[in-house]
Amino acid sequence: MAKLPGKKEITIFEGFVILLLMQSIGTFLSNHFSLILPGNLTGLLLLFLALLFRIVRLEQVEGAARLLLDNMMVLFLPLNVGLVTILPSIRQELLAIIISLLASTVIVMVVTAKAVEMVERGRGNAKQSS
Amino acid sequence: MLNSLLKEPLFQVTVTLVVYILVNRLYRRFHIFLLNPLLLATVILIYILQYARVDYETYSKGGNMITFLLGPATVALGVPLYKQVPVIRANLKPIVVGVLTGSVTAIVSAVVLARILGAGRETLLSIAAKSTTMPIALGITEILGGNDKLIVLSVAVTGIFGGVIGAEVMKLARVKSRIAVGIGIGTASHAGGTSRAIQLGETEGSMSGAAIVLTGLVTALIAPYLVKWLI
Repeated sequence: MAKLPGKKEITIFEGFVILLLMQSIGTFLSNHFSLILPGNLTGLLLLFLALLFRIVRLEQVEGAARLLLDNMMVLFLPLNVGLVTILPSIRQELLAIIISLLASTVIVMVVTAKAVEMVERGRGNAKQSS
Repeated sequence: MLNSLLKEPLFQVTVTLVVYILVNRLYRRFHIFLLNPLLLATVILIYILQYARVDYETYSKGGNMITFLLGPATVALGVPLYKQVPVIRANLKPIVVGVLTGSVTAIVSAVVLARILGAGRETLLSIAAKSTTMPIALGITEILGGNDKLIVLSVAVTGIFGGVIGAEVMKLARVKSRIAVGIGIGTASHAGGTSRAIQLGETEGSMSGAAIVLTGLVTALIAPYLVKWLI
């Protein structure tokens, strides 16, 4: 009889299938009910709910999730390589894009942090929060 | 010969993964801050493809197999979200207010600024989701009808920049609360900024991390309406 794979291997494979299952159901729901959320995100919410209501246990998906999330960079590497194909068409806008992105990042950080501080002051515990 | 090999999806996938692993090792060993691993891996791959005279269209046969995994990777974000439930529950109000404010500000500021600077419609659609984490940003951009490569660039630029300047911006803006610093950095610049927020302290790191997926979800819900209204 062939040796059974270790527990960890089963978990990562099972976890991956659970992720695909959630994505499939999510995509079906998003398409079928014309949800504003993309199917992947509906799948994310489904997994979250499944974990919350103990339909899926954390150990079942943790390994697969970590494998994908820790190596996220390689997953969008091909699209990044594809940048060469659109560079000619965005060359003239590239400076505008970069400036907008940089300025917007600073604006979002400051506005968000200030909004949070305002809420905290309202609660009167801004000092203790740190 | 390199040309005929690299026309096969098998070799395309293998070369991509090998370049990724080698660059990651190099980066881990030398940790050269200016040398961003993603940028380096991209440049190396572009160079290899050009040298082998393989165009992107051909490469994307194998490339799409890797890109496919971004789907389950998006779903996988449900795991960190679940783990953050205690943190989110304990800081519900600041996190909700911060993420809502930040998500709206991110879409509006990026689109309006780019529009003022003369960017075209497709560009505006392709940068609106730039503050969200990569796989979520791709999903949102697909719904908006933007360009997938441009949003990948935008998300990467935002993350790298947020990581580099996050701490300094917060100091200059005289933000004192650690919770505010964390939520601000995480909402503005997803995982790129969070890697830096973690170095600032445990509170900053966990707040920044908690903001990432929530910002993605909120942005997905409001972007289609907001962007239509802004363009």
